[in-house]
Amino acid sequence: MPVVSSYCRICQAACGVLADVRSNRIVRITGDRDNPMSRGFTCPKGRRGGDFLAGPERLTHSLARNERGDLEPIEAVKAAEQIAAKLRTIIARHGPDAVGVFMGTQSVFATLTRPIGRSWFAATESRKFFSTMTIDQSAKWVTAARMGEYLGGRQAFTEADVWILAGTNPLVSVNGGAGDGVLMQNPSVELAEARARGLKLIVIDPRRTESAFNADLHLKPRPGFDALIFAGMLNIILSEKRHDRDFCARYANGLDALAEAVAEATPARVARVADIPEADLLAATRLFAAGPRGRIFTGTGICMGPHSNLAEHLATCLNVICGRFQREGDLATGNAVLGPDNAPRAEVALPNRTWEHGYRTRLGAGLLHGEVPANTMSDEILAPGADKVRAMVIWGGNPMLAMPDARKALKALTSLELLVTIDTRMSETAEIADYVIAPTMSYERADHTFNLEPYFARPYAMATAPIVVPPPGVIEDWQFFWLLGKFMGKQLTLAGQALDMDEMPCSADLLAILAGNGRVSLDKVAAAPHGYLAAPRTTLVGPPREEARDNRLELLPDDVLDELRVMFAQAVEPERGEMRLVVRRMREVMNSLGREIDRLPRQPFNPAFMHPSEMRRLGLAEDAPIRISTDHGSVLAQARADQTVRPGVIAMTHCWTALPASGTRADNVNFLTGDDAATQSINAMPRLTSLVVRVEAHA
Amino acid sequence: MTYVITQSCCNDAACVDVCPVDCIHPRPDEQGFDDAEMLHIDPRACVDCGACVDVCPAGAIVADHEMTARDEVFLDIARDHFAGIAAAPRGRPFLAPAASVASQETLRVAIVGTGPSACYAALELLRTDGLNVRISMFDRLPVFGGLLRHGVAPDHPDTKSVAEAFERDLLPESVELFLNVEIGRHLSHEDLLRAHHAVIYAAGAAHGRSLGIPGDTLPGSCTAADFVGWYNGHPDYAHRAFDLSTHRAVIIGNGNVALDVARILAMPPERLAASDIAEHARLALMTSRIQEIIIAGRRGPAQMAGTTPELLGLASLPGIDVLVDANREHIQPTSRKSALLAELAERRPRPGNRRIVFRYARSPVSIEGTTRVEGTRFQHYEDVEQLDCGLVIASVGYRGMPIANMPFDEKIGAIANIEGRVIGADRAYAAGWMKRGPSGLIGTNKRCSAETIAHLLADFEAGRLDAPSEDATAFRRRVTRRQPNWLGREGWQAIDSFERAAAKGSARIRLKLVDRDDMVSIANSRSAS
Repeated sequence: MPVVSSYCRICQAACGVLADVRSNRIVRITGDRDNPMSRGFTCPKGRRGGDFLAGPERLTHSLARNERGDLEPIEAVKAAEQIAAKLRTIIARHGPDAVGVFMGTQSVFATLTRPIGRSWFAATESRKFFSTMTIDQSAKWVTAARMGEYLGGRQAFTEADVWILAGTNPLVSVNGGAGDGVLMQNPSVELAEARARGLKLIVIDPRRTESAFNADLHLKPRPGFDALIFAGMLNIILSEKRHDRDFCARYANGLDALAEAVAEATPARVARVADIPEADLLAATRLFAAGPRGRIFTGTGICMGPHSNLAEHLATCLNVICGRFQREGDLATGNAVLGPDNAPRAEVALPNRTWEHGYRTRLGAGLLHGEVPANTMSDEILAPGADKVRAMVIWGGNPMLAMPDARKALKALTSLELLVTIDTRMSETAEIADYVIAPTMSYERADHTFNLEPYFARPYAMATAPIVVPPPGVIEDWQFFWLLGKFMGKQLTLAGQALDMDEMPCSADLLAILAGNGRVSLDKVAAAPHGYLAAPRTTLVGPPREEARDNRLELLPDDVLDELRVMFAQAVEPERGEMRLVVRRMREVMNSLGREIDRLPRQPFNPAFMHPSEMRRLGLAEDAPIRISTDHGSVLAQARADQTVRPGVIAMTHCWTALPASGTRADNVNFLTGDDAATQSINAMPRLTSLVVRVEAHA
Repeated sequence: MTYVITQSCCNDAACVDVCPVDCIHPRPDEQGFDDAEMLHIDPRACVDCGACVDVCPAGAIVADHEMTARDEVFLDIARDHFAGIAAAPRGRPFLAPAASVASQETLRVAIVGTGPSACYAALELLRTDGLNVRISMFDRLPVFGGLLRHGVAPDHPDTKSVAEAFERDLLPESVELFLNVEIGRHLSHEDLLRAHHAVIYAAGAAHGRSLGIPGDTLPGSCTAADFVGWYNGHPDYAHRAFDLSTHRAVIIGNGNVALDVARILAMPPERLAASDIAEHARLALMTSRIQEIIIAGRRGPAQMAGTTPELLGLASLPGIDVLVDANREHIQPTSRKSALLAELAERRPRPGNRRIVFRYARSPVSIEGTTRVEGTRFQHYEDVEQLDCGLVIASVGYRGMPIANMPFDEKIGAIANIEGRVIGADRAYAAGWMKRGPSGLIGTNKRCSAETIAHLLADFEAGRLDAPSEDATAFRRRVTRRQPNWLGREGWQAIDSFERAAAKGSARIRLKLVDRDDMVSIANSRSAS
């Protein structure tokens, strides 16, 4: 029985796997214990990787909508030619900004897709680039752009004494660091090993999550008041003078102003409003401040909640005032293998408020990391104006489920002149598309971990060959963009090299070009069947460049101070019977992916988990149908008792069923979301968790 | 951060196959597997991936953060099991090798029985690399599952879910069901051989052993097999009647079946209502006046046959007093089981509760009564003890019955065989209780059936199995001639969905049909429509 090693490409953990292949089908996937990162760990969806490829829903050829409005098979090259012609017409008539793209999370795992897709998009000269990042954790981008960024490197989890996880559950999401691979691969074992050597774990989450179950201290607050909690922690540290004075003096501006601004967040007030024991707040804060090493890390619970940009900023301030960074002369942490090895410097990159200068859409949004905020996408399509988006190309995502205000998203996407999506199955977005391009899937492709490398905790890389042959009718995602470029007469590039636009290059050559400037050669990585762990690098954090010597982090820019004032004004105790909906993750699904695999989710619907006492209060039996409403809309879900959820809270996972298929269920929480007073400036991030909701039994 | 195997572990060891770090023990290739009461996950080595959960047919594995209070003891048991053993990773992943064959010929196999050993045999054939196989499975009843349906206690739904896993994995394109067909009555061994290369007898051992003491035929005396068949709606036993108007019932024998019977007798009616107990049994038990159930064992607490997980499950049931009638000092707490028994010896009955009382060192001498059971007499050391009761249930094991002229080994109560090859019979094999006698947990049959299949495949590869002369269509015609009322998969699925639909709106999973004719007519009317 041929068992071959490869790696999973459903999420960023890229776990090493052993796949049992028979007759070109993956019949079993087990974790590869010899993989130095994942060490045998896999998750339920990863183990069903073969079913993602071979299930009855798999699209094995592309589709185009005919005159009758039905989707019918089309050869991918022909589809690309037709789409290119239509895009050219739209650009000729309305200008390049009439063409938008929406890039989803899954695009990162097909290694060549992002660089070549972006190259095609850049060649169109449109600026309407939307991605799931701006409906996810772009508060981190906003914080870096407003505060500036320290470039010497962060303190590593592997050497930390204390770690705070706020609104993140890496034992399920496999993501507990700011893109530095904390608790990403083999998370339970990594955490157990860290705690065995003395790490203290603090978890802030309204649910006793899997991570909280293993914490030394768990703060279980009322959701939505994270910014207040972080302000309170800053206040405790600064008023008790537990901060790192040297680091602050050397690298930060605005410390005194910050101390003054957060003084309002007294421990008593924070404890009262967020409903946590004051003693626990003090203990957690002092434990963190005592360090001496360790960081706070936030996840979607913070970045999708109210005051998300402020909360993320304040959490980062905690790391800054406690100086949780590598200093000049320290051993430089780094994970370059297939990418270039750039030595870090003990200097600050200045704030860069890109949205305040340069391009703005007619709706007033500026660019953040070269992207237009995704939450403005529906209005970009619907609102009249010269640069109105008339055509969308979607890849690696399912915006019909992912977009806030799902009803408006449906209206927008169905009103387009041209909607193209690359999809492996008839997703909710594919159902309404004019063209559906059927791509290869993970184990059918050669790939390497170049794109993921920055997320790994150690200098690790893996390369894999295809282990099964794709269906004859599919193409690689990047090939579609290459074809679009060719038919639109554009020159595409990869890693600075111009691609041959006459004859389609082969994937292997392109993968080699992408990894061409690596610290380790791709050949060496490819020769390691269980992944390649490079020797730790020995470079030291260098001194600042002369011109950057006086750069400082801005702890309290004016707009952050304004947000802080608004937050304080809204930090009030709950009304009687307040219910808040928070989003959670499940190991069985990755965003909108995995629901469709038979018996993969523990139940074929999206349960609304709530504390048994709330079920009693509302008179609900297990799995009873309920209606959950906000001012934006309502969902029909099923209530399920869960001791781990804080009373007053409902926990559901995001995405799931878009429309009531059976008439009893429409459990995509994005029917509850949309623009309101909580929508953030800069990234237009709406509140996607900590929603105040009404709950009632549904007859 | 670790997964924990709990009470419903069936020792199937599917989990062992998929554990990437080899932290589930004992493995089938390790000493102690055959006698293991359950398998354990080493909490120090588990990587929290849950691969074992995916494949556990009995739903026995939970994450530590999801444990209920009743599950917690199983984490302690696992810790105890691995204490003193160096922390894993130890071996390589076990990945039980699938056999492979070179022959291109389609192997056709008849399997008599649809219980665990029969299903494991079929699955082992299906997972053999390179083998083209067509399997016919026979059951003398119109329903699928053997002891999974008629043996496993109705309040153990997790264990019963093994049957669903089997049904799902026995793919219809490879496995045909012939239900309501009895081998030895409707079809002979030779009939099966006409259309199959080989026949595997895996029909279990359905009959209870009797005590063989004076009075054991009196009304009010029965075997556990009778009683279990009754409450589980086995068509052969469903029409029996048991007098539950007595205050005390005595169960002789203290294995897991005895614990099942005691639990069902003691269980509050509302809990029974959530099980898949046969409706006639539920109604009868609702008016039961039994207050005390004595479980009498011949030997001492240390030799008790019931397994630790089942005993733990019993002792933690709300509303039932589980007591040990012995002096605590006389029970050496040398194991978790005996420690628990010692603890039970200190419990005192609470008024209003039904109670289950373990007594030890009692050998049954006679069952007393004139027209019906009035009491039992035990030898207890030097004394003879008299106990008044109206119901005596002998739970001293099952016995197999000779089948289809196969040679029968009276000593083990099974078909005479060597590692599954039936002695002196043409192309005949045995698996499960028909092969080794009635012992072991559900999952024990997996390895037992695999051994049989290995020999069968070796014989096939060596050309020792004559090719059948009759094709599947002709065989089906033959079956229809002999038993016009045989049911296929559709018929069974019709019964299954009828039973599930009938339970809609109640807490139970299904409302069982218990009459053969009803089953056949439901199957025919539904699968026709």
